[in-house]
Amino acid sequence: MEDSREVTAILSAFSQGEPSAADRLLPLVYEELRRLARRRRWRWGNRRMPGTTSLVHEAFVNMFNRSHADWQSLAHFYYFASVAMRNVLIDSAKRACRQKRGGGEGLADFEGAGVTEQRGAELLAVDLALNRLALADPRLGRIVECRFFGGLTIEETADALSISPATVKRGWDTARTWLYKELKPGVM
Amino acid sequence: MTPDRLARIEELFLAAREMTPERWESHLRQACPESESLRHEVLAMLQHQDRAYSWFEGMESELARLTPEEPEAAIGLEGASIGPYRIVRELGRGGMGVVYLAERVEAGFEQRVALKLIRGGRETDEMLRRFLAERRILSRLEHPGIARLIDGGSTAEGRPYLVMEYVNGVRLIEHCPALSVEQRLALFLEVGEAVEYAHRNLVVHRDLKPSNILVTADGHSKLLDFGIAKLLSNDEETGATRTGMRPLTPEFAAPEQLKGEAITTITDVYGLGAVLYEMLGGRRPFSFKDRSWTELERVILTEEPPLVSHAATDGKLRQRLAGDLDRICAKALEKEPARRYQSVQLLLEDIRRHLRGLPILARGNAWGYRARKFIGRNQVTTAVAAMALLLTIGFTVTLAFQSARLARERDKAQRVSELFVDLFTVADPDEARGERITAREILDRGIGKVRGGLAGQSEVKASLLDVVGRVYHKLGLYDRAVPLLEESLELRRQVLGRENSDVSENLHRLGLLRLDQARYADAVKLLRESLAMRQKLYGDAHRDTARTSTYLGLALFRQGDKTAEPLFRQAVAVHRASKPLPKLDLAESLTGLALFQNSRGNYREAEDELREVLSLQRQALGNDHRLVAETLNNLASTLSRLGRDRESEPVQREALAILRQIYPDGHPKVATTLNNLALMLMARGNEAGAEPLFREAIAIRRVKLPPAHPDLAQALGNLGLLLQNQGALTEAELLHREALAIRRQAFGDRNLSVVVSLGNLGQLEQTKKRYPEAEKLLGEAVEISRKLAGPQHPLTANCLQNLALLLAERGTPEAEAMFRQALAIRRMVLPAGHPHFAYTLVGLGEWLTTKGRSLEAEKLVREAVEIRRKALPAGHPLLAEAQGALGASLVALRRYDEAEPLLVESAQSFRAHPGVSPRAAERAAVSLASLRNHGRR
Repeated sequence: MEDSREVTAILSAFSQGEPSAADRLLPLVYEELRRLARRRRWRWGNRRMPGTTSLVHEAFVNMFNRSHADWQSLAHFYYFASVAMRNVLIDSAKRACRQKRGGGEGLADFEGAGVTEQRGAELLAVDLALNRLALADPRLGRIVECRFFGGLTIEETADALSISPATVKRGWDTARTWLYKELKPGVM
Repeated sequence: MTPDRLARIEELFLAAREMTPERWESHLRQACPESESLRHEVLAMLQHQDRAYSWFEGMESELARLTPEEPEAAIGLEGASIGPYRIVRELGRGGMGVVYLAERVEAGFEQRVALKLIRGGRETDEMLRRFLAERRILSRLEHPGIARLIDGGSTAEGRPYLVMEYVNGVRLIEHCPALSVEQRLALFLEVGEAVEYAHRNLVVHRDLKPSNILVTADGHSKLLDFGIAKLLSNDEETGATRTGMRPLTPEFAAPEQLKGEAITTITDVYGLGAVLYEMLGGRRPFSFKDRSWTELERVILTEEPPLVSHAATDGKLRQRLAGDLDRICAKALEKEPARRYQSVQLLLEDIRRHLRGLPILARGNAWGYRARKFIGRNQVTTAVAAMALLLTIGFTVTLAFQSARLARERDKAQRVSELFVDLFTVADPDEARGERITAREILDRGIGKVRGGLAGQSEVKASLLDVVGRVYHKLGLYDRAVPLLEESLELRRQVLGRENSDVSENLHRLGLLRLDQARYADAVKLLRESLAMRQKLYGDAHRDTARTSTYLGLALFRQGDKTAEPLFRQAVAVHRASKPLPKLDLAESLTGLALFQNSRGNYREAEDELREVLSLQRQALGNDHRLVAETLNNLASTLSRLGRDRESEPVQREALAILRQIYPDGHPKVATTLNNLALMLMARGNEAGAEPLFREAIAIRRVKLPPAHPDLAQALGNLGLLLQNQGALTEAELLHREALAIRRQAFGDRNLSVVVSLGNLGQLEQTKKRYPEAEKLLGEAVEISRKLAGPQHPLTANCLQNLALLLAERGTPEAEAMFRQALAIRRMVLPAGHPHFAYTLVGLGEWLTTKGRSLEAEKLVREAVEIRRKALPAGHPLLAEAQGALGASLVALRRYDEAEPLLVESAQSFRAHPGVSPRAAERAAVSLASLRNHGRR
């Protein structure tokens, strides 16, 4: 991103307590988030092109509400974006599950087709297991957030968390196998 | 789960997974003796690794579905006005935005249009740029098969929009079921023509799919949504796609799109192939319900789609689609762009050919693709793919001239073309010498070399075409080479004049190509023209003149024309006289002469010449060269004809080894060697060894040679003979008939190979006791052989022999004269001890015996037994035949003591090979019985 230096400057201004920095930041960061979300869609070839805007809105708002947000670089920022994405997605999953049960959230704005209740439940299970994992090893938890929820590549994850790509790979493999084992009762 | 425990788990897991599964448990026991539950946990992780990874992939695709719907203000827009248009309703959502049905109301005239509005929210630079690109692209295109751009603008809020022709129609796939196959093809041709038009305007669609094509009420097709189309101009990107941009519709994406490689017009060929497939077969070539991206990629990149005829559910439709249409679809859907139709035009032409009942081009390649599994992976394809790709880009760059660019860009293009010429020259297999050259290496090498400017654009193009054509020729891809060389010739004629050294070179090369394609008449014409031009330009004593002379000689020779000889001799003389000695050119001419000698039956001279050739080639090229292998082949063949099979076999095997190394995936030359080696083995009685070699040769020739190539006929005939010997008459007959048909197609009756087939078939008919047919065929063989080869030619002798055997079996008295004629010829031209003698001797001997002239018979047949005993293993049926015949004559002479051992041995041999030579076996048995009766044993 050409204006990454600008973003970094704004980010650090914001973290130093300059609230108005957010206004300048919004258009730039907005685009980054949209690209994140879009890339994920392109990666997974979803033909129905779900909207990115509301996802991005939510993620952004979530991020800026975290008072302890402390960006050191754009890469670092990506991590927080992934976390925000996680929250949004898990919320969506919860709503999807509840909807199926006729819980009536009012906002009938889902691409419900293809989302089985089972998948939504599985995602929630991942989320819970991930919490357990993160308790025991926060780094592994962050890696999963970046890779799985954020859709970041190995390199981007490494940048975001200031670790080496090899560490990311090893952690990603370990985390996935551990989580899978936790989730599938027949496994153990 | 404590941090410590998790850390330990991680450590154990990462260490153990480097090992093979068998060692996991032991390693864990060693590394973690203290906790069984820990070991258990890690082991579970190890065992389920792969499932874990793919499960996560599946989950990730679900994540995409969970993102909430965009609350697009579509509802709000109904009735709104945008510019002079009023929104009626939403038609659908596309890649960049929403498409509405709108109206333009003007003084009582209502025009319905499709209005594409860029997506709500914040428009980005990129989105905007694509939008404007689409506008620019569409404005170039005016074609009845493409939805027209009418207008464009931006809303009050600054959102851009495009106004396009509103196409009220049914989606292509929904329209098709009501149509016959011919109607569907006609419709497809329309679609194809629209895409062709776009290509001529340098636009690649890149997202061709059935939902993008509508059919209007009058039954015509319209292409919509050039949304991600790309202009092949070089102001933004060059033809290559930025790797970030993935196709929007993965199901229809071409392999190169998924790999992020460059997109060319050939990518659209794939897209059209997928459309055709669905139009004809009613389903998509690949189906993906809820599969993850990686699975999708894997399937598209590696799995073959089923034949379109198999996709059809209806039996009649299946029949209709089988064959040509299967192959056309398959060729359009090839994974590697270089294997597809190289342009939409070629695809459409093949369909037109099919509709007219003409043979289609796709035939060779489609089978070739399936036969690849037999022959193995094709190392050469990577190089060829790279070249075809570069060629397309190269042309794009060159074509850019036509849109009136500046001189600066012209220079750039020239330099780029030079670059490509260099690249292609690298991909010569002689340079490669069996090493793998990958596309990457070609690019790397090429990028290193950029040379200075040339004269003009046409010349550059001509050179480009020439070199690529040459390389294709060398790689054995004759069909691809021809149009390139022809076009190069045309261009050069135009630019350089009708008589010119470059033009003569083109003619020469085209002639060589036609020669390799066995289109001898064409070759002769081209080479004559080239020779005449060269004689004028350079004189007779020039190397190039001599080279053309040699090849003209070869072409004439292949046509059976004797005027080849002076051409060869002349060329040899010129080369010998040149200093320094042009070893390879001389080798070439000598080879021509040797082949000629061979055909005249002058085998000894041929041997000498070939040995000289071998020496020259080894000096110039070393031992591991294709040409050396060829010469070894020729030498082996000659030695074989001289009856020196024992010497011939190792020579042949050496040739085969060299060729297999150079062409691991098959090549006509490998086939030749296989064929010859197999013949050798057959002659020595090793039919089991020969059969697979013949079959492999046939397989290679079917794939690598143009259809109806005489060499294929040769291999078929040989296998036919072998099977005939083994009694597999049905398959043998099929093979011989096919061989004969091919030979008649290639030569009419003016080639000796037709004689061979006639002879083979005749003998087969004889075996089946269809005597009138047999006599007709064999008689024809003799006639043609006498006429073409001459009354003293070994082949004529063979034909006489065969006919004589037939007549003898029928009891016709003319048999004797024929045997004797055959024998006489053979005594004249074959060295003593040659296997062919034995046949005549046995045949004549048996005949004489039945006529009571056993004394004469005995002498003759004894000679036969000697010959065969030396050449064949004990127990071989042919030896047994000779022994039986000798035994019979001895019995007739009452020399029972001499007769008995022979007959006993012979009977044993026949028992060991039941079904082979049943009549000879019978005769031997009769003789033995008669012996036992008369001799008081």
